[in-house]
Amino acid sequence: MKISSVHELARVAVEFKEAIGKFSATISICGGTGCLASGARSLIPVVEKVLNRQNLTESVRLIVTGCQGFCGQGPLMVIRPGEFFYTNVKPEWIKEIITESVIKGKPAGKYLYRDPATDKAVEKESDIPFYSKQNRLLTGNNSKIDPSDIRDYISTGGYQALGKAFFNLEPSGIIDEISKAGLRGRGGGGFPTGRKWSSAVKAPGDHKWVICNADEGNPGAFMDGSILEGNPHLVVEGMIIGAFAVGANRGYVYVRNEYPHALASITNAIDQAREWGLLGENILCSSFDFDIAINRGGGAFVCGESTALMASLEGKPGEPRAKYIHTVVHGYHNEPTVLNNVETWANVPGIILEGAEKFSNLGSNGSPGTKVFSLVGNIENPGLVEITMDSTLRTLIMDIGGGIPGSKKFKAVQTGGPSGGCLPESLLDLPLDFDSLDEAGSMLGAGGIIVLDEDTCMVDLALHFIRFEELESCGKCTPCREGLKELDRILERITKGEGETRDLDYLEEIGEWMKAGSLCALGTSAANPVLSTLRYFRDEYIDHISQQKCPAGVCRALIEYRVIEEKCTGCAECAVVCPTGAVSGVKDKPHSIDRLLCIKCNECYKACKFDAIAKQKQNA
Amino acid sequence: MPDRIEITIDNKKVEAEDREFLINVLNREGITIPTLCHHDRLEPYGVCRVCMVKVSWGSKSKFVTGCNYPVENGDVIDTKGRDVRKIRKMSIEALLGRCPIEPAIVEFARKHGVMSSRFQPQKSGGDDCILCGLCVRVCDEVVGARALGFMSRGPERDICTPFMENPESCIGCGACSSVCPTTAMKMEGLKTEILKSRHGDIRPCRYTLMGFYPGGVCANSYRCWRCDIDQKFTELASMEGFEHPVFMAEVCIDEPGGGDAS
Repeated sequence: MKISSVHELARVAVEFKEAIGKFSATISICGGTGCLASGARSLIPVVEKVLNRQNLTESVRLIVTGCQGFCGQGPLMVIRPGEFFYTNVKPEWIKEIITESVIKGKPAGKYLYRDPATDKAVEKESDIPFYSKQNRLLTGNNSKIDPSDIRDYISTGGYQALGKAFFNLEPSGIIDEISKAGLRGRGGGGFPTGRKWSSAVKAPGDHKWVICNADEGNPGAFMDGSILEGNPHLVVEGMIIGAFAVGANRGYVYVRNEYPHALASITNAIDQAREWGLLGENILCSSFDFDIAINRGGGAFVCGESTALMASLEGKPGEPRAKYIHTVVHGYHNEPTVLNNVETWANVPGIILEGAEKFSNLGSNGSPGTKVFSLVGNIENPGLVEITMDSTLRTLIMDIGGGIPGSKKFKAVQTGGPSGGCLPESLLDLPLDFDSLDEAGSMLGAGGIIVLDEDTCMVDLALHFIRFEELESCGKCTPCREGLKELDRILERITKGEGETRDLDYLEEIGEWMKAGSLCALGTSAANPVLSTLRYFRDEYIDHISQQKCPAGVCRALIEYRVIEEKCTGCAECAVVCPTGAVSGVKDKPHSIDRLLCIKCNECYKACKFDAIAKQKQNA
Repeated sequence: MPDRIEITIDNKKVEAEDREFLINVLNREGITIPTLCHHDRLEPYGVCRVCMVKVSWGSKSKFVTGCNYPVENGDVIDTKGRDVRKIRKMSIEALLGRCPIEPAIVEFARKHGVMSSRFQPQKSGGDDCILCGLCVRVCDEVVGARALGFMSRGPERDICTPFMENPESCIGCGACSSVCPTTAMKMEGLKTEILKSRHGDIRPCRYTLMGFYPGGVCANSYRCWRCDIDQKFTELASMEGFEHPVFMAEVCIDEPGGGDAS
């Protein structure tokens, strides 16, 4: 069916809400990537079978949702209306959970999440510390709706903002509202969205375009993918409102092909929106036409850069061009184009529906609203986190993330993906906004947060990221192409213990040159990992150079494995795991490692329960 | 009539057209900035990063490439400052590191005070191509043959013909070798027969394509060594103060006796 007016939209929203309200309970299983990897898919047939046996298929609703965020504890399962929250769910628990929570309406005590701080079971999703400290404006609905069904989205107030934008606000009013809210681009640039849109309105041209940048290429980041998987209509609605505001009739979603779930989800959402008359001609009788097409990206990191993305969209090689003339004036096919990130588009319906003030009251003055982060690395609770932008790194890592697992110490946090900087513990009280992180030599970027513990070598880490950038650089401009290659060469030399003291100044010189002289944002930020580690962890570089020592015990050329005889109990665990037979010894007597046979694979170190393997050279 | 604006270049007030490329303003004013990837007949590309200048507005400033920066009213431009020279020198040093024995680059670097490079070449023994893209762009924008393109990315980036084969669309006009600032692009004399069979006896040549000489096509049947225009240019070039429009002697194909003409 097609919804042809705002009244009809309101009517079907009530209808859908009633239809969903008729169910006595809703079981939602997280279908995010993390939960699928930990076995969420195997739960679905079990739940179906149990419901079938209990004759509950008619009265209980089972939905598979997008990412609910608590990825480290997957598979996740929430049963509403009680909001009972189960983590690490096993298929054999299902029967009992359904009997208790669905039939009796009580929590199934022993399967609930236990707060590691208090060791008490927490019943409700919203009471878990991981969630209670968040402010989930965009991702909050992820556990409540079935992303594959537009009716779910409409029943929770979806597409209401569209009606308001079409009939209660002029296009200029929409832009005013977005400007007043102070929304800034969530893809990393932090450009004020309202200003971008009004430039697009002023730009001459009959054809205008809107593009959603879903080419999330940061290793370890999954914010945009999770929004597309969990609530795709939010993005579609945001894009329709944006297109109406700037007068664009066609749009693209540029989504990377390595995101099969996100791709399927947004494709399905666009098809459904078209089927229901929310995309196409004369949307809601407003005489406004708009449609969205999908373009699959080939997986180049640089295509996340707006001009490279547009070049790729035009069928040309994904290479950026100088942005002295903005893409809002000369963008896709040289026509005015508004390109925003997934998260930016997803923020639009909320601002229009609830008003700019509510949004601008959240977060800090310069960076209002919330930001979605993907928290990964050496962290207790990896996952998808959404917090206001005045929250500090400490809140994010220690309170929500639960700190570093085991007895390890925190060492650094890398914000902003591979081209972000590494910040030390002393800067953990920085707020997570655009400007503070820039000043500290890092960046907010798209929101990838990698936490590193004391076992990380900062030189090795910098080299790792430089190699990533080197692979992904398009090679068009001199500083990025030649600079990255040279950084790689020097860093590799340092990790082999062949560095010289003057190398550090040389590294900085190259970094500053790349920052000032590169053509696009990839080049200008690519040296950040080197510059920031040199700024905050210079001692570690000096240890590598002057003492040929890797304090974290990572750089293979600088470490040597040996057995500390006083600690060794002769359990022979290390000898069992050693793949080359380098470890030898008599049982219950201290073992020894043959350095000629040792390939430094670290297996013995990991296997030893008595800390009896040392990695540092004896004379160092 | 486009809007006239006023900008400041090296403390001197200068009038310009709104959004005109900075390099055109500089050329008019007689200020030279070094560049390796710019050609008047081609769209600016902005990749060699040797033409960097600093633009300031009030307390804010940034480095931009002179070849493709569109000037705006009130821009304060610095083409000679210390920081500008530092960035330029580093770009030149990087290119010299890439091509340590390429004569044109060594000469260019020396002219700008870069005597040696700390950068190591990507290919052992050094490259002779600086990836300025002039050949690719001239083939596309002026000749329209699109017989050249880029391959790979990052440090592996290189110039190639489609599928690394003899390009069918190449007309042997020599425009690519004439714009190449180094010795990377060379003409071969041995393939004339292939070109003749593809394009016939008459074809446009580099001089007409690049606008150095009026006229349509060359009827000289691929005998560049008998080219009147070329000889005229050579005579002119030998006179003081005249620069030959192409890098001489690099471009003739099919010299008597055959062989590689470069």
